[in-house]
Amino acid sequence: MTGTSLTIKPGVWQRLRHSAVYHSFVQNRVAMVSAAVVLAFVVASILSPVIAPYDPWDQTRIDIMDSEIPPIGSAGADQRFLLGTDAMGRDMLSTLLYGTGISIVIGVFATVLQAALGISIGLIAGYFGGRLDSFLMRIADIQLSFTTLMVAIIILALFQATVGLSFYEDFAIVVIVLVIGIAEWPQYARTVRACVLAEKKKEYVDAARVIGLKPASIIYRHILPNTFSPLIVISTVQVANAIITEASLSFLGLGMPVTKPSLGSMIRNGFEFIFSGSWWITLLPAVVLIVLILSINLLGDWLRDALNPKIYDS
Amino acid sequence: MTALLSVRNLEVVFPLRTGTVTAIRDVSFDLSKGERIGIVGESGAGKSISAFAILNLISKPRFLSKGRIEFDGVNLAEADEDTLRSIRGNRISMIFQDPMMTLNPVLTIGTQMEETILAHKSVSRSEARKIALDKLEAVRIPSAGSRLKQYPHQLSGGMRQRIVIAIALSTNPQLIIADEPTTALDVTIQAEILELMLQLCNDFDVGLILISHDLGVVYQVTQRILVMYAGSIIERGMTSEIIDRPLHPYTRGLIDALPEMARSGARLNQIPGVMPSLGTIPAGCPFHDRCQFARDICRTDFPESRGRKQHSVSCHFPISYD
Repeated sequence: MTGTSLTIKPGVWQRLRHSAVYHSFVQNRVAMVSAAVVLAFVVASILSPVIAPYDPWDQTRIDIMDSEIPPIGSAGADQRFLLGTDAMGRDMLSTLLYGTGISIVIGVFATVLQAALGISIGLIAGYFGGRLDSFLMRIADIQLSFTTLMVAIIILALFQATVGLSFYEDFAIVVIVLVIGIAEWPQYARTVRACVLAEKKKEYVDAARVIGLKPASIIYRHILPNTFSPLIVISTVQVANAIITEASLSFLGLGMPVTKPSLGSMIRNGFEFIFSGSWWITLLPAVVLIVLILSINLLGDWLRDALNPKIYDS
Repeated sequence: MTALLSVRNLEVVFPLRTGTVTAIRDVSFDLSKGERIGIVGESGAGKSISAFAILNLISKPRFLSKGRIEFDGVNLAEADEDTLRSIRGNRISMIFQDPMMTLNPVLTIGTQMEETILAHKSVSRSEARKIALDKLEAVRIPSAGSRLKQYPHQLSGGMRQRIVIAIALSTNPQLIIADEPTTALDVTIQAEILELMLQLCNDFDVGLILISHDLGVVYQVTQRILVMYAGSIIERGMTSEIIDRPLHPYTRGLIDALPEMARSGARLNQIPGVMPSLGTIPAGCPFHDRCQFARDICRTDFPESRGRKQHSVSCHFPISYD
């Protein structure tokens, strides 16, 4: 087995180098730039414990006397703080790095949860059809008729009120991932179901049944891989959506706590100080959020075009 | 000799909003071990449905309403899913019309072949790979080893159909059902594939049900022919008998319509009219409104099968050769 995996590895890389997707990527400057930006954010936030000058989560090292120092280049700047400090005296650069990490983690894990739920439900509904299909899709409709934000606000507010603030601070990230993950599964379920309905009429599915395969292996090994390209596209959009949803919740005071802020909570924390002249506390995380979301969405746009053979003609 | 497959009074029904429609009526035939039979008829005659019915794979809402399908002593019409699954793909394999569509586009040839073998045989993955390689060589695919790592789109149509045949053979079945296996291929490849199938059936002593609208194709490969029209078998017999002395006017029409039968410069012969749709099959003989010999009795009474065992026909006025 080790012998084959060694020979296959360069093969995969070779195949990627010669694939249409790779060529379209190399020729599309927007895609390259946005991929680079997303990659930079991801790498920076993974490395944040190493590259950040301070640990913004360690409250014993924050000095309130350092609060509201403007970024370098403005009057009253301090050499120690490249991007200034926030109202609590935390280094903005470090907080931004950690905050971006939290936002990306929430976006990715919430999307993974949505995908896991939505893909399984969509596959089952699409393949078996009939009453089960109607039942699952009506549940999806009901879920969609509540907006994500509304569901999230209710659940997070209840959670905050019942478990108390200190407990909430430790587990907020898990609860936010769960809430956003559960609220958005119908997106995946509907897409997957539509794909399955189209795929299951194709002859290779008949052939698989004639071979005598069990429904489970027909669904997972034959149909699921054929639904991947729309799923990849939705996933990029959903990561961006989850990050925005988390930012909105944080802005409303229901997201990540002040002690471990995400980009959204940083915007909210700084918002109170914008009229006193401390614009950087809210503006910097807002810029980071916009650039991150824009890059992910542009990447998603490119992926949608690259994976859709019909668009080549136009 | 006892039959390997014995189909009795098979009937398949499609429920519609306006009532039910019978797609297959009273189809019976036997197939002994290693025998090759052909089912011919035009589109919509019920050939493919019969093939799926044999495997009890009629997709809902259609269903098998009547009949026995006895395969090696097991009645497939009443067998449970596990029994059926142990027969499908294992002891009865099926080959479809379009090899482009029957192979999964996102899996390699090797994966798809191994999957079939592993589903039915308790062998390791490397043994499965060895069997796959063996079968690819049996269908004469050049450089078989490297094909296992390729995807269907990297192969030509004829090559893909060879791979589908190799998959069908991979579990050493006793019967292969081939539904229009050469229709999607061009004529030269078609001849190669037919010759290959004939040879493989002989080498491995596999039974074959060849479904086709093309009498020429069926003539090359089979020993017996069943002619279907509007869901019924209207004529059956030894291949040479049917081709040389067709008894049913419809069979005669099919043979006359072969391009080989046309005089040069003249138009191809054709059977006037179209086959009735399943909902509007007329009373009496289903063929009567297209038949030049039809008389009153043809419009009222369904003709019973008559004739010898080697050659029988459902017609009130079979063509005579005296």
